[in-house]
Amino acid sequence: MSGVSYVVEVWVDTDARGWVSSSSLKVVEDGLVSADYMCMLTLKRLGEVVRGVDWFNMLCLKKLVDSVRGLERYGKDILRHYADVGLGLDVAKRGVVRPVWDYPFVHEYLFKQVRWVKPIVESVVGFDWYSKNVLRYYVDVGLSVDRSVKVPVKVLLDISHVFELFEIVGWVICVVRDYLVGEHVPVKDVASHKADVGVSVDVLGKGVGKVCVDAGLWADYVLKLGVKVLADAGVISDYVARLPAKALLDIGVGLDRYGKRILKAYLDWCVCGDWIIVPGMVTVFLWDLFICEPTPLRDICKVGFDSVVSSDWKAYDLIACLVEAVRGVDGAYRYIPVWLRDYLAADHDIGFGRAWVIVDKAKFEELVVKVGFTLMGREVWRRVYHKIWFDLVEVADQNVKIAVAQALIDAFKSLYEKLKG
Amino acid sequence: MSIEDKIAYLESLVPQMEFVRKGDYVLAKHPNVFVDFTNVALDLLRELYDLFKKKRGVSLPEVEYYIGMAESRAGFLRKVKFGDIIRVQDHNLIIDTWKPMEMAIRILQANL
Repeated sequence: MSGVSYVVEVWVDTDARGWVSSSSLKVVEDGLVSADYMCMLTLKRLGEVVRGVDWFNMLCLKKLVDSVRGLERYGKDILRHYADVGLGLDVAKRGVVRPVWDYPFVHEYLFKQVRWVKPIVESVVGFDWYSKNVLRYYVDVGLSVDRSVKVPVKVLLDISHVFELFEIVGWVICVVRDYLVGEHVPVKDVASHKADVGVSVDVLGKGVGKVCVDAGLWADYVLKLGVKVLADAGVISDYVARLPAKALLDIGVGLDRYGKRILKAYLDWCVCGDWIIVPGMVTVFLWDLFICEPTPLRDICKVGFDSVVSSDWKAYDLIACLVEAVRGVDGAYRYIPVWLRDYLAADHDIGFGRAWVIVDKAKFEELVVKVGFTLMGREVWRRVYHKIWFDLVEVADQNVKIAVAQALIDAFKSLYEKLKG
Repeated sequence: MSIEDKIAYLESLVPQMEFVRKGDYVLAKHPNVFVDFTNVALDLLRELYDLFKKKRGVSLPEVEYYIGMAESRAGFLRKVKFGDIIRVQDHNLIIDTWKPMEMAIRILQANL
């Protein structure tokens, strides 16, 4: 009976062992499938991450290239604008007063050029710096992803170790069972043990599966996090790429604004030039100022003009200098009709041999002196009425003295008549 | 020379003063005639002031001051000849002499 019982028990034992083995193997197989799935998933995700990084890098490079192209285009525009301005200035310079243009123009040109090139360089440098940071960030993300991937693998490895451990445990159990069978341990107990072992293995298998699932979820979470980080990096990269664009936009606005200033200066100058040239008087003025024979008025205007220009020689502002020059020309120009009127009236009187009373002469002198003082201060008084070294002998030096001599004779005669009477 | 003679002499000098145009040469007679005119005009002014004092019985220190100023300046006048360089003083001294003469005449006329 005991032998039958033994056989039965053996059969039961064999069946249970087979069941246990198949269950364990199934669990292990499931676990490996899960692990394999997770590994494939991880690799797939990792591949996607790498592709994403590569895509972002390409995007960054593309934006960098676009930015550089934009900068180059703006640079060409700036150079072309400079060329236009230079041509315009050159054309304008030929027709108008040269000293007004030269120094302020050159200074303004260089100053603006440096001021424009500098932000471009800074933008490129800043973009380069940001790009390096972004790439470095990508590398960090890649390292994190790599580490995150390694962790599930390690978990899987540990799980396999656990399985191995379970196999060992199961082997130990079998040895114990065989021993117990050999020692005639009641079959019921052995069966109970075998069942317990199977349940335990199943529980452990489920636990391993759960661990594997958890590990997979965790790996998935980590990969999602990596993708999110990459997405954030992409946003940052996009923001960084926009910075040079904004800088370029600012430069363009600045360039446009400066261009308008130049055009306004041109406009002002042209208006002034037109205003000066259209009345024939200014032709006389310009002729008298720069080309023609020296006259007292020429001296007044020239000294006044030179003083205005030279006083603003260090102003470093083209427009301010132009405005002052226009004011100076305007100031000198207003006295031209007065001076011409008196000059022509004097010639007319002399030509008809009329006496010129001293009072009128004094008025004339006062007027001219006033003009001189208004424009240049007391120095002009000597320049108008007193010849100084290197002054040219002028027609007026002789002719005005004749008029004054005649006026003195008239004054003597008048005084003598009153004394006699 | 009487006062009338001096006035007549001055009037005779005026036609000798040539109006010039651009390109004309500066001749020696151009400044010289003004020097002659200034010297005679200064004598005439002095005589007219004496006549004023004689008729009014008063002296005008301001007029004497201006006449003295004109005399001192007239002392530096010079005549030039062909080949001489026309200097700054040749122009300025005539103007500087005529101005106090003008001021003296103004004051005399105001006190008549």
